Amino acid sequence: MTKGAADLRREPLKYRLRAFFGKPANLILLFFLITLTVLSLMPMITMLTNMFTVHAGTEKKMLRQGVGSWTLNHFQMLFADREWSQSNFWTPFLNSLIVAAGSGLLGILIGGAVAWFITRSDLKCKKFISAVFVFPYMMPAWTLALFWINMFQNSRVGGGVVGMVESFFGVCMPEWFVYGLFPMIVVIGLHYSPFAYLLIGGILKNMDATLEESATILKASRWTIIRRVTVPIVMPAILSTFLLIFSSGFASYTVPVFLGSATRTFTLSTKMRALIQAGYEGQGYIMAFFSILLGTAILGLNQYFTGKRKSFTTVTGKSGQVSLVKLRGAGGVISALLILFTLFFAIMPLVSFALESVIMQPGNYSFSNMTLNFWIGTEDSAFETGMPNGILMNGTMWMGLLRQVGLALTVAMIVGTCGMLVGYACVRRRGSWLARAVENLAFFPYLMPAMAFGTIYLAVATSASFKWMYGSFFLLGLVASVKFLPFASRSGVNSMMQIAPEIEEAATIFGVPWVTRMRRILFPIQKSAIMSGYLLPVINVMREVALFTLLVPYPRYLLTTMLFSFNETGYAQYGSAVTLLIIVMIIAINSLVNKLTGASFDKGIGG
Amino acid sequence: MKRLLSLMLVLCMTMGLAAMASADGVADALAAAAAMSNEELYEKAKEEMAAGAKLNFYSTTSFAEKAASNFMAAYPELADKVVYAEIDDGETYSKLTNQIGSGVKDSPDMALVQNGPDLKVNLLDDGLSLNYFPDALKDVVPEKYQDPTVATFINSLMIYNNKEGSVGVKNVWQLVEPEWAGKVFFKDPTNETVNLNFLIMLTSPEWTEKMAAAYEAYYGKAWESGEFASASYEWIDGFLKNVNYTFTSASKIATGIASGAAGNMGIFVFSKLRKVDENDRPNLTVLQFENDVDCFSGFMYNVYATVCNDTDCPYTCALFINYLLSEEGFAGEKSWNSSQGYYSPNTTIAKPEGLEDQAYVYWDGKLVFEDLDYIDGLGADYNEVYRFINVRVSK
Amino acid sequence: MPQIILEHVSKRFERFVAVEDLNLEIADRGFVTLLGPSGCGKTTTLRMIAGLETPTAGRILIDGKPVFDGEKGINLPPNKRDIGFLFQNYALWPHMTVYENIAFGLEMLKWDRQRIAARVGEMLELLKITEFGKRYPAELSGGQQQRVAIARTLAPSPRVLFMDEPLSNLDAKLRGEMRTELKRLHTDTNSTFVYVTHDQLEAMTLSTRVCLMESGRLQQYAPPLEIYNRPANTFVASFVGNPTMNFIPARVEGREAGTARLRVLGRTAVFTGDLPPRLPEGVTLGIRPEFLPIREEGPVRAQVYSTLPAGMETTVKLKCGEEMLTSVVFGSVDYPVDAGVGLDVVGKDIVLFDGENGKHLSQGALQF
Repeated sequence: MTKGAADLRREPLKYRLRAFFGKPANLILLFFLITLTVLSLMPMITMLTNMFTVHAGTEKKMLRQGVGSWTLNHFQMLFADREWSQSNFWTPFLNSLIVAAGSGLLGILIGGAVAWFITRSDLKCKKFISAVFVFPYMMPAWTLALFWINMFQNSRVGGGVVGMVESFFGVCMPEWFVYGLFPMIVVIGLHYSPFAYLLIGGILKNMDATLEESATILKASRWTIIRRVTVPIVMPAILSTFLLIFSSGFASYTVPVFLGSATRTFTLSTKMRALIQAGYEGQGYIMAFFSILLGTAILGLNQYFTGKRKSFTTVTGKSGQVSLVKLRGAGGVISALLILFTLFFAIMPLVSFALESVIMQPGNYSFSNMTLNFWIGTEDSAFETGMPNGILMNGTMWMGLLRQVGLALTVAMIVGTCGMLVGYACVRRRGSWLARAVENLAFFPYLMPAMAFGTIYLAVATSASFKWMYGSFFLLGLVASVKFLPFASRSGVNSMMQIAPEIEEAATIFGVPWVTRMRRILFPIQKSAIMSGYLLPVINVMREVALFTLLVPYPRYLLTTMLFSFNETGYAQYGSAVTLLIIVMIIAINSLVNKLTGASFDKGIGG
Repeated sequence: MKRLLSLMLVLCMTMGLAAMASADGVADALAAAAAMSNEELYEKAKEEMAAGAKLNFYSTTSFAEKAASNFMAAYPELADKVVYAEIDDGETYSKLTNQIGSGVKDSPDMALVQNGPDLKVNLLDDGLSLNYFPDALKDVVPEKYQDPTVATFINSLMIYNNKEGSVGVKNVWQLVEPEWAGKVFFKDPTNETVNLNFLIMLTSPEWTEKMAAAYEAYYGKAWESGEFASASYEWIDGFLKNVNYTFTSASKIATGIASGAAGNMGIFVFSKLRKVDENDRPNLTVLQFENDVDCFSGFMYNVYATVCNDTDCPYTCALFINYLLSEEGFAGEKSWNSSQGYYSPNTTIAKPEGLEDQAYVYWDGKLVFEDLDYIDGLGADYNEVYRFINVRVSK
Repeated sequence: MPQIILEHVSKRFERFVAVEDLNLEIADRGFVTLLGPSGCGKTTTLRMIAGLETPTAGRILIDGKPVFDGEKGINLPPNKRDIGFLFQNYALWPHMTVYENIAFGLEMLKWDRQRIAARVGEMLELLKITEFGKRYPAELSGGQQQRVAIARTLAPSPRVLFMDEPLSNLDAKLRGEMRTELKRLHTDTNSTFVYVTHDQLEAMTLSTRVCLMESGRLQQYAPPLEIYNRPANTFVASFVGNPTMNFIPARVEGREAGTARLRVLGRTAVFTGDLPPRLPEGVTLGIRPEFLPIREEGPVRAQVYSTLPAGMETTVKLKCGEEMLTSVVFGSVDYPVDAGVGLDVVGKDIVLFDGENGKHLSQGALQF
């Protein structure tokens, strides 16, 4: 006599609860539901209240009201005051949109083209190109911005400092080329083109070869095939990629800081920071909230497109060899161009930072002007420049590095493990509202621009009950963990989906306890994909600035914020040296983990 | 929502009151310390340190670190007890208001801060920090710099690149002319409050008069109000249009102008000249040392010393402030006095010989001095001025 | 009308030889099946003729025209070879409707709208999928998608139609139905069909000739019944026919003109047939299960190992000394396990294979 559904509902509550809590997946989901709600939603509430209260500092000075008192002034100033609103909200907003859209298009054009060449043609040196092409994405975006400035600044624009292109070729680029919206679009677009390459390339690689072969046999020309078969099928992925790059470009903080300050070109994120720094926290929080709303909308749109995508990708058992398009003569030229291109944006920045970190007088690249002082100098006169000793001999620098690495490792441990657990639990309970809720909650922090996220937590950490968090390592770890959970949980879900439930069930029947099942069966099978979930946060933390800049107790606390303050206060050589160090470390970590576990940064984002 | 807010308000007030209670103890200690000699303070300080206290202080100027180490050398039993923490100008007040009374470990005991108006509104008015000034120096420091106590003055001067025979200006109204577009460098006032205060000071009655006179001297006719409320506003408008914001820090402006195009001029912190490479240094000329300018050649601002109301070592703080105001402290090795652009309120301390600088009194009348009372007294008008400046800075 | 000729065609992937020295002639309007186990090279051969793979060596001619010549460096791309290709997974474009899928090839031929509409209508009717014209492939069942794929391939009336295991994704019942349809289509369209499958029943029932391959080499190329009755070697004999032929080792004891005396299953038997001049000592006898009936008074004694009664016939596995034999009995009969029975050998198509290399030596009758 088996029980029907109606009977089950009448079961005493305690039996149902016991059944519910008996499954580890349910426990995990419950835990994350509560934790993530608290960590994602509660800060939002704090931020919302802060949009209506007076803060210490400028606001108090301007409004002559007590701290914490209610006011609508922030809204009034930001939206109703025409002049103020224009320069503090609408213009930055428009700039953000332009940069986001431009970089999205550029990223897709470059990344998509490279993806097509690598997967669909007989290009030479494919391995080299695809290995090096990922570099610009691994490097923090602001390094590309710095590189751009190092290259193109010249005596006719901005401050008149001579850059490399003028120094070596005598060419002076116009102002709109060196600073402002144009280079922002170029730098962000370039930074994310490897991202587009990986996403679109992944689809192209998995796309059934026969779809294109059948068109060939029906006498379609190469171009017609691209136009009518390849692109439409890949289109949902392209749209999705565009939206992802768009939202990242919109949220970008460090690039507009470097490339926009000279021409006073603000984006929403830099204006937000400027307002907060000037003491207009309330308006800053309003802008943060606004960008979160926008981010949510964009990614909701993305969900719609990826939903469509599922019905388009066909993965068959027999993966035929795609007949590669023969490029013939053009192939050599394109190969050479691509190699030059990837080398330029991957290797040249490193070279330029190395150069900039050893010259004394800016713009002068002769040997007589070079010194290793900024790296290993120990003279006391270096104190005059504000930093005792060169960076390698400097206690402050090592402490900053140590903290950054420590933070990265801590966060990676937490995020990787949580991502795996979330992935496991969500897949096991797929379809239930609980799993859906946790999956969405885990992805929610991705929607928030890092600057906005940092802002929210600033609001929390300055509120009465959480003051103890302010400026602490714990706060940084917490914020970073929540912010970088999305991709880890997504890759956790993806990798768990590849494993048939029977694999675990076979062990369950043998009476293997849950922890052992995870440790000895599930984890080792998906080791490579799961390791990517651990590796990604390390690299993310190692290069993150926007998230931490408001929350560190002082700029020299972390290496990246230290670097940022260097560039703001003019120690360009130190800035370049530290940048070089950070990039080298990221590449080293990625290679090491790749050698040891087969995981790699690019595998992680490919999904 | 309202309940949440009122709860928060009550919480804040309670904490404030609690802080006040302990603040009374600090206030009394500081009052007593003002009358004590350095030796007596040293004894008291040693007691405080023995009880496990440490002096954590924030400063926006890195010379303070050197001063601290000199201080510890002078008072050996306080070695390793004075900890300097760098603080970014923009975050000074939010950090301080958050940390004072929070009970966080290593919260600051005192701070050296710039931007007087903010100090007053955020800390002093609410009693979050207290002022301290030693009786012994009451005669050698002008009264207006005793409350709040000024630790040092810093000036920002017009300095230009003299290559190819470039000269500076003789009248400030030259700077609003088209030929100066993009050639004058100035740190973003919405980001750098002392720059903002300088511009605000220009709109004060005293300076408005001078600006109008300079206008007449330059254009040959009296200033007429029309689009702008006063001559100063017109000047600020034209000046900000010409400003080149490429360099985001004073050091960068210094090095940038030194190695850059001829004729470029910056208004930046004088002491940053030390950052300029010695090969480029000859390219720079301090305008004031060349000729007088109608009506100013830069501005002067104050760095104040203030003691947090929850400090556990008020006597040590007092001793340290005494030290900073004394010749030993201010003119110690590699300390403020060794650099151009820093001046002690203690009138007995002169700038050293051979340093290309002048004493504090020299600058009076040539620079726009920060007047805390004026700016604080603006009240609602502050918004107007701020808005005027802000919308002209962003593009 | 085209004739497809392959001369010494080989395909090598680095060390792995997929196809070795293949010589084949496909008559026009034929229905040739490339048959063999997985990895035997049949799909590769198909793709080479279609132009989707490039041979390592050899010549391929379609309709007298060389489309590939390894020595002369000729390699016509697939879109110039005037062929049709039906993929195993149908390769329907998911973002186009059924109508658009079918019309695509015609658009490439630059037909005008009316002509395309007429032709697509024709195809839809021919394949009995008229009501699906506006649907998307994802909305159709496997069988319907199959028909759409066929319609798309046939629409431009290709003279040669290649099919790569088109029925393997369908369930058994549908497969049977579609086989009938395909055979019908072959007659109706008058084209040459080249078909790849690993299912020997399909090959046998549909083709005019079967090309049986193994490890890249051609084993036998002949009409189905010839392959069944006169297999060229033991591999062919074992691959075709279900249940599999019985292979029984035997020793030649003596021979006269037209007969040979064999020692087999512990007894002596006489083989009568067209014998080659020289006979090896060790031979293999190939006896189809239907030629090994169970008879009470049969000369060979055996024990029932297991039975598989299917209703129409019963397959019986028997142990005879050291050998395992298979017999097929028609009708609803069953035998108890381990029962002792008698076996007889009937018919004139008992095959004699070389005991060493498995090659076909002779065929005839066996008498115990």
